Amino acid sequence: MTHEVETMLAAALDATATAAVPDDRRVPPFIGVGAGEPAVRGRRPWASPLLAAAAVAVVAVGAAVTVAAVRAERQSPAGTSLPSPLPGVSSQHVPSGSGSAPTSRPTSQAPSGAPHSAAPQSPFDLGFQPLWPFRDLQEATAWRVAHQSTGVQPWHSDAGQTALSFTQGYLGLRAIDTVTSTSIDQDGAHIGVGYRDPNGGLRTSAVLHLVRFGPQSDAPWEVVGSDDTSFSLEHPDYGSTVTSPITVGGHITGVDESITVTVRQIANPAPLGRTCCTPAGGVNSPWTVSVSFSGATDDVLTVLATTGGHLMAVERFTIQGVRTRS
Amino acid sequence: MAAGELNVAALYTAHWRQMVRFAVLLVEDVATAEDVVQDAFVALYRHQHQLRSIDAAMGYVRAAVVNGSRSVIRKRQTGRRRLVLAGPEFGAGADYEVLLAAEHREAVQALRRLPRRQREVLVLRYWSGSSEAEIAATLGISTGSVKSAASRGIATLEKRLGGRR
Repeated sequence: MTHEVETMLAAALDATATAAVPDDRRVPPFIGVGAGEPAVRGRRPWASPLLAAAAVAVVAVGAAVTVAAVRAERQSPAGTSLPSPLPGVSSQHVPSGSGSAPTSRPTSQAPSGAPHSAAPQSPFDLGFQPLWPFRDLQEATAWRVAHQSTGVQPWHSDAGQTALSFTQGYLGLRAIDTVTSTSIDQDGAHIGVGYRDPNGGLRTSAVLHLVRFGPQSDAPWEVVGSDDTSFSLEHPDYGSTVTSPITVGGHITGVDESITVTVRQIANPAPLGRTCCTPAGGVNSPWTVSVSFSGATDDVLTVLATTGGHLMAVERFTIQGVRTRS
Repeated sequence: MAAGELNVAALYTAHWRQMVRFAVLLVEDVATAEDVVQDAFVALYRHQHQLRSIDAAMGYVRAAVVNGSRSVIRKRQTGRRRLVLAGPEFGAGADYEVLLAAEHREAVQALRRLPRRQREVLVLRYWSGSSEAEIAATLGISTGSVKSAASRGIATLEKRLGGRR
């Protein structure tokens, strides 16, 4: 009887598989992705309107006012607080792909040496959520003034080092230690950060978007978001006002992924909230998780989602800037 | 190793049909099976440098298909999608099943009622023709567990199918 069932099962499986996928079924094209380069699923929802607005501004009044053109779409970050210490940045890695070579590496020192009164009353508006390292224009201007006189913390002038310091120092993703790509245009800087796999291949974990915090060409870089890749964080909306708990979600392409979400603010070295190990996977599959947080004092929070567990604990990440008050 | 010489696109073209057939036996519907297989080859593309040998590539894909299928089923079981596979509640089969002979349809439906591991082992054994060692490697279990799952699965099928004859 066992043999009979085995024979029947084998025949049934064969018939089922062939009926589902006949021999004449055409093989669809393989949608591969470049090694170390996440498949681009599209930029964040806020990117297109901003780019469009920027383009209009370029045509109308020239590149010098491009940033101002997007003001109307974003609320102005509060700009009255004094510069304060930043979370620890202890990176000892020099970005391999960054352009200029700062004279010293990122430190944990805040740009607090500059006189607060040096901050000019400027109509400049960042146009994005200021995630790190400065909370507002005054902090950024204070660093710029101090840097001009004493050369303090030159890494703020380097988009690659700022992106890497943000990743390692602020987000705490120490194993992501390499700048994998650099693209700077009038939209800002798009910096790929990642790691080398055991065979020396370069893997991109995220592409961070940075803009200069100030109208001057030597204004420091500020991280304002990440470009969507095969792992995205789309909810809550960029710049939306949130309260705890937040329903966080997006899309992911991958196999056996495990998503961890944390909420951070500049004022605290530790996360305000965290939820771990949500299973996910598939092709452009939606994912969602609820995360609670407490102790928020900054106007702007960074929501971080990470996934990994195949090669490294964290292989890819994405961020979203949200607000605690409108 | 030659992982750097791996031509994933060629492997995909050569094995796509077989892998989708394999996946459809685990997840039931063809569209999902195609997604799972596409995912598996993308994973191979990304992780090819970690493979010990080119021969390991299809073993990797097979395991990724199993894992991807489990993820799909897990999602369905959490209620986000229709419940299709495991459990006595599962309903009508997929469209292509109308093409099957009654006894084949009955056998496949009985298979789908088996616990996940037994189902996976039987598909690998009686459709893929994998050895116990290969099944163990694909599922990440011991050969003893493979034998045990296969034995229990066949015994259950005997009871269900034999009782109706």
